[in-house]
Amino acid sequence: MRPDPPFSVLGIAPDADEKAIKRAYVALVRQHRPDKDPVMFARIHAAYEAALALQKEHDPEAMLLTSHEYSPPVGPVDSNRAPEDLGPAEAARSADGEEAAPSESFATGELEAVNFAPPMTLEELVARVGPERAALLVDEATDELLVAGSVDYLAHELLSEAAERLLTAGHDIRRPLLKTSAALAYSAPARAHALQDRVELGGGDFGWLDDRALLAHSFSGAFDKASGQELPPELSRLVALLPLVGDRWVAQLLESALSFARAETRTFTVAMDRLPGDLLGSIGRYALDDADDGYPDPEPNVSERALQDLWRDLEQRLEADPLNFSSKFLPLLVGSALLFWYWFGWLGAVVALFLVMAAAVVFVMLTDVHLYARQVRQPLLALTLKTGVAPADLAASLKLWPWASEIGRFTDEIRDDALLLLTHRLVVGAARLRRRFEEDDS
Amino acid sequence: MPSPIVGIDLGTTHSLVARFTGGRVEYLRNDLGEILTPSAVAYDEGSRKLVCGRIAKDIAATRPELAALAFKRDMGTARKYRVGPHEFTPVELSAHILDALRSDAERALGEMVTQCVVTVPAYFDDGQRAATKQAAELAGFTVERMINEPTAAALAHGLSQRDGESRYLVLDLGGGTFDVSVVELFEGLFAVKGVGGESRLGGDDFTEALRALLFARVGIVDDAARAASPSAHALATKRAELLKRKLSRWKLAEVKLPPFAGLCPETSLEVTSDEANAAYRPLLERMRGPCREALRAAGLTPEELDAIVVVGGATRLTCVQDFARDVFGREPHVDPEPDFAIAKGAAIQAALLAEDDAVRDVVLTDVASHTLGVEVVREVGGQKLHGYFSPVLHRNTVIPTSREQLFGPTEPNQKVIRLDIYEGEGRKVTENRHVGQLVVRGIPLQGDRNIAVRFTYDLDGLLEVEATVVQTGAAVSAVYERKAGEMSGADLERAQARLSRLKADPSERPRYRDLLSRANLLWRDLEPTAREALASAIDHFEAVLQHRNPTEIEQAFANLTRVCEVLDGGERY
Repeated sequence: MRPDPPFSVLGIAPDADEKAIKRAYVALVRQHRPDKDPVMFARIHAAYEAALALQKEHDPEAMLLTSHEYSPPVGPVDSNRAPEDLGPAEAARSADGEEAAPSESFATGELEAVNFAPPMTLEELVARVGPERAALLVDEATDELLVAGSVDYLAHELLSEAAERLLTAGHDIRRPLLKTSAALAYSAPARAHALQDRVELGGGDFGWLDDRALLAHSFSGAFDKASGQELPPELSRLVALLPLVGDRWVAQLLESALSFARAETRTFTVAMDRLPGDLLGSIGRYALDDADDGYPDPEPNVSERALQDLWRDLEQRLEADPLNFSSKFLPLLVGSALLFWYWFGWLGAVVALFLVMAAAVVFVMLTDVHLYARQVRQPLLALTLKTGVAPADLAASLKLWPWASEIGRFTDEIRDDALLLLTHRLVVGAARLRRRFEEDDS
Repeated sequence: MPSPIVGIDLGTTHSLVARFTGGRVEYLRNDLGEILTPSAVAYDEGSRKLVCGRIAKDIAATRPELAALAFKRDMGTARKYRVGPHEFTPVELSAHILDALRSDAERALGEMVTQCVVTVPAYFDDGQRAATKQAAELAGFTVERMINEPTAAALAHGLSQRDGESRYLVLDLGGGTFDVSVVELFEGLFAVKGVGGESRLGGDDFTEALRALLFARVGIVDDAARAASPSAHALATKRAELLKRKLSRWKLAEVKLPPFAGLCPETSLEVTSDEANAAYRPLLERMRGPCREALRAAGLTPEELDAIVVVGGATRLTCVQDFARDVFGREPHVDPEPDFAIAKGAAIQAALLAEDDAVRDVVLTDVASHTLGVEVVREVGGQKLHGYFSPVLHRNTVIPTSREQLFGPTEPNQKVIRLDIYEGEGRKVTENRHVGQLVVRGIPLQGDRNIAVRFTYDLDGLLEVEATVVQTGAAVSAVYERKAGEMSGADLERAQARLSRLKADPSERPRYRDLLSRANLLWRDLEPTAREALASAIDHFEAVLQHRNPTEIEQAFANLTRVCEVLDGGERY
């Protein structure tokens, strides 16, 4: 169904100005209020939007304003609005109640405000606005397309012949190429490489990009592997943006990731927990130098020697029987065994031994686990922070106290502490990093 | 005279009721004579009943395990809050607040109140809206309309100058939610052009940021502190909130951090507003995105706006005003009563519904805040790929709206289609929220096998889905089921019965208990000599309460109130 002819629904002349259109609309809506007469309201509203779109089309000045004059910097948590929603020609598609079928008159409106967005191919774009402006438009549209998730479209267009011609003719689309390549590097490495090869056609040094792209890819890769699930959408969008952005954005990115983490603590913790230590370290490197938050500083480049010292310290503590088990229970054990042997013979001695052992176990469980835990907690935490190895694994590879299964509970606690500390540091570090950039700015 | 429709702002931290009467909005006071009722529910150990409002908030400050706060943030989720020995869903807790508001309104108006307009954050999704509606029904209300909070604020702001033409942006930073709306006002027509927001960002986050700052100063971690002593942690939160208020007025403020056993002793800290602003910055940064989003949806630039209106209690923070100034390059208009603006708008909406003569020329149009669609299978290169999101209703479409789209089965012999309905802006369904599903049976095996799916988005922002088999023309027996814990009729009755059992007896005089809990809270903050003075006043009051002599009780009440005020010495803001 075609939309109603807008001007006749509103009861005005086709050359009416914006004010007249609005006035007619308001008068009609007063009669057909959205809550009382929703069907009629929908028709009136559709006509109103179509009329405004048509009116703007005839008004070249308005046309310029609605094109991309206002393009704010795209941030990581920015809109995920699909770019195809932007053009004024789209206004015709509205609450019409039927399949949208914009009439021919709307299609002409696109001539001036060209947008690089699906379904337009790069070839068409070049044909329409010439190579120079096309390169510019692609560059402008890249971030938005990536945020909107149109990576495949971008990659397809950038790998087309039209793109090659642009590059060889010296028009710079290396930035879009690199960004798309980075965004694809994890999910589609082959295409990412092809895109990167293209960059060389244009030449130039983009070394700075590698580090961050690497971080992004290893992050999402490790997350997928560790948790067996895809990155939560918010995080994956952030991660996809990692390679695109400068250090300032890394700081904001971490903050956003963390705020997300706080909202979804459980999933995030589960996943963070299983992330390999070197990755945590590399995230840390961006944010963590000299955080004076009262905790031992993480040392991304901690020396082998220092690590060994720490390890030895921990081993020593564990070896020195922290519960003083023998001195506490040995006299009791021997005494009661002798007494029962004297009274009841060998059977009595065995029963006595058994009873006392059982009592000892219960006693230790109730009282001394905490003591023990307190003794090894700090070194284990420090070691976890420095190596990134999960405390449970550390505990498993150390010589542990006989009732090691009880340890499980408290290594969990240590892990939580370590995660908390890391998270806390990330926040502090990110804030500091941001501050530094701001100081640099001013 | 028809029964009144009241406007209710059901906020994260505060709620209030307002009514439009005689051409102006009147705010209804609660039992304690206050307009703002804290959105808190607590279990009173003495009476074994639930209490809410100020008393509950004070209980939360000393016995956090007995109280639930900020549950609006979890509306529409299955999360349970533990309140003393009971567990409640956010819906039940909200219902309890609404019930209290209703009885307060009835007392203030002297007549039955059953109809209301409730506000919801513009960024609430379908499940959250349905949950809010349910809470109101549970409390015995008929919900006449749900209205978006920034839209309400826009109504409140623009009502007095509605004959002109202007465009303004409403920044609504409440206790727990952040919303942005761009509104165009043209000769009585309030048209929302674009919305943006975040459903988990609000004044409470600023308090938490400050608390984290305090904890970082003494070198402890938030969760460790909470584990060490929940009550000290709650006290620290309360002090951080006080600090927040002080710092929005002064450059430097002092705060006492309560002692945490094994972590740190009682510490006195000085915080400057610059430090606080640094702590707030991450939160402020998160506000940028929604602003841009709303502007872009409205197709406007910041320069084209005539005014920036900031509402919501949290906008008292100077840093939020600075943020608005910074982003939009102009002085924001701060509502003189930022806490009341939303309830005022709700009351105006109620007047619109009641066709009040004073607002006869006002028309309001709002937009959908999320894109709604269906999960579809795409065929790519001969391969069937699942999990694509096919939008049916786009966001920022003017509501009410209705749109139909055709879908077909993917397999030749398929007779049943399950339509999974999602809400959000992602390209794949995993990036969006699953809001419900619809099962269509009886698809013919031959001929045109299309299913017409009609999405209808009503003025409350609630979704209805209908499916028709195109070929047979018959509407299919398909019921759209909301995913997020929608209660059936029986569940609703059960929940209602449970809540009414736990409702406190109105004769228990909340204001006495409120004073007592306030006094007890104050006692913790005082020096030894002052403590003794207060303790004797409390003891006296408690003793008098036993005798049930009204005049004596009133005297003791007045006495204790005065003692509290003197000892509190400006600590109360």
